[in-house]
Amino acid sequence: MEKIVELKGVTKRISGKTIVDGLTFAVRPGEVFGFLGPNGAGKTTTIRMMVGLISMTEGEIVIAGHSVKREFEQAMRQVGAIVENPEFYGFMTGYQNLLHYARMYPDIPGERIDEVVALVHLENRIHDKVKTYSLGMRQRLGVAQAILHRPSVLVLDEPTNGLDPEGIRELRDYLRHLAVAEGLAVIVSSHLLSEMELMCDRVAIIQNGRLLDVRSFKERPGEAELVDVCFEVDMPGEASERLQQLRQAAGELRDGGGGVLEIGEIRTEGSGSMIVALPNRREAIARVNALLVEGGLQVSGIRTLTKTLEDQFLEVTRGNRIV
Amino acid sequence: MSSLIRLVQNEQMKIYGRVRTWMMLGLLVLAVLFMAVLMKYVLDTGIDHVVGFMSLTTSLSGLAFIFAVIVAGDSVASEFSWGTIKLLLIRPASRSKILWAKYIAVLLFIAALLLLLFIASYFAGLIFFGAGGALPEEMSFLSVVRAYGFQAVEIVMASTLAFMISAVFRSSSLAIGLSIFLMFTASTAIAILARFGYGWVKFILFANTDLTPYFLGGQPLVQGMTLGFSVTMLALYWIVFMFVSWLAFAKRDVAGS
Repeated sequence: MEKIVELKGVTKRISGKTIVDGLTFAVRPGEVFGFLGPNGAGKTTTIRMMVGLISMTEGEIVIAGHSVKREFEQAMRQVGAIVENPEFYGFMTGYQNLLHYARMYPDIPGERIDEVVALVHLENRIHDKVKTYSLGMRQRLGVAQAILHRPSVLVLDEPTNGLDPEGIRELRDYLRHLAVAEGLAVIVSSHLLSEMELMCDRVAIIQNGRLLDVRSFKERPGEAELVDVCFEVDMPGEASERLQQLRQAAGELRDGGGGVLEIGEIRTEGSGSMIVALPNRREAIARVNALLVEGGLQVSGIRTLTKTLEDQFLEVTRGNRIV
Repeated sequence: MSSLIRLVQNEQMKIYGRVRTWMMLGLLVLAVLFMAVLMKYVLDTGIDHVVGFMSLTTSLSGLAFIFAVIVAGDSVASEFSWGTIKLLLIRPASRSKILWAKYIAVLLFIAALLLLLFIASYFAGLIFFGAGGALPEEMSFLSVVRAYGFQAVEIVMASTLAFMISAVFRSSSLAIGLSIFLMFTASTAIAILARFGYGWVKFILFANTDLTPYFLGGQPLVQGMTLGFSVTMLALYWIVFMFVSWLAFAKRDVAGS
């Protein structure tokens, strides 16, 4: 597997307290990688270690083959970042701010600045002082300074903080475009689960400085897996009973496609819905619906409950509260 | 990877991009003009030569002193208070190099201040007093230049001190306030201590910043102090200030704001 960023046993201790504990994972080129955890989990500390703002107590971070510790300048050549909110020199224009950062790289031609300004749609305001910019414009200028030097890794710490829904959507589309079109690895941290779900290909969940799990989103549950399906019925209690009876009586139910209709957990919710764990097939849902209707129950709605990142997150972090 | 010259260019852009800097420069010129008017029309000083006026305006370097300390004390600390430090240090430039660029920019600003004072004094003097009048024996163009040299030593040392405090505490108000306070009170305190015979005061920075006694005659603060001693002390202090600045800037974490 190709790796663009690699963390090897990264640990940070501050006066005896372990903030980040042996983090090991890798990020591939062209993927949007999320970094998820409750406040104080060590997300920002880890991101700051990646860009050299905070030193590591132990371990190593390698970016595009260069160690952040030993070959800082070569490693940083490959990284663009926004750490927390993008802060600029308010008394200078957007263009001067970009020029300031461009001068810190050995090889950025002047046209590149114009190019990124056009990319983030700031042409009309780039020669105004940054202190007159709205937060959304600052955020866009933040993206501009981060991609100015065509990095191979983009690191964004809480990029959606303070953005309106439209800005968030714009940023999300843009990050996706960068990852897909330019093969950039994008690392984003956030505590907004729904945002991460829409943005990321994979997510590392950390808590108390430890890596709990790395999850991939793009894989949908396979056919063999059971998914929760919610049936809105007039009498959920009776519906649940009927399904249970049928299951016991027949020993094995078959659906319309001829497959085994395996029925998992059945539970009722409120006065109008029943949730059944069913195989991830259309036929299975249709068959259960038929069984309910045959039993004289009125089905008014059916929907599949996909597991949200929030559910997965809570599943992983639950029981780990205090470590 | 990034070149030092371009980093200095950046720092220059940040200094001269601020209105504050231009107000400082403007104030300095205004002070010179005000002094010229005062000397010519209000007070009866009898000055009638440009060089006489210029040796008077060397006292305005106190203004340059305060401005230089403000810029030096703000140099590192403002990056922290603005939050821009997070975008500054994630570039292919080592922290040592960035710190040097900042320090060099401060030195260039001091040079600009003194040069402006010199030029403004020269032209104001020429316009108001001309170059034809009589000049007292001890005043010459050279003595004026030398006075600027002495002032430069004091300003550079105070600015370096402010620069260090700025890097260590990441607070510009503390850096500026403390440096100016020390510079103005320490000389009195040292003079009193020296009067009471405490010989160790000669090891204090501010006992050595005024080099005039060694050149223009007069008692050094403590008996037996020599130019060589003072220059050595200044060099040692400078090295310590720079080393501490570097430790504070290059080695410490930039944690959450």
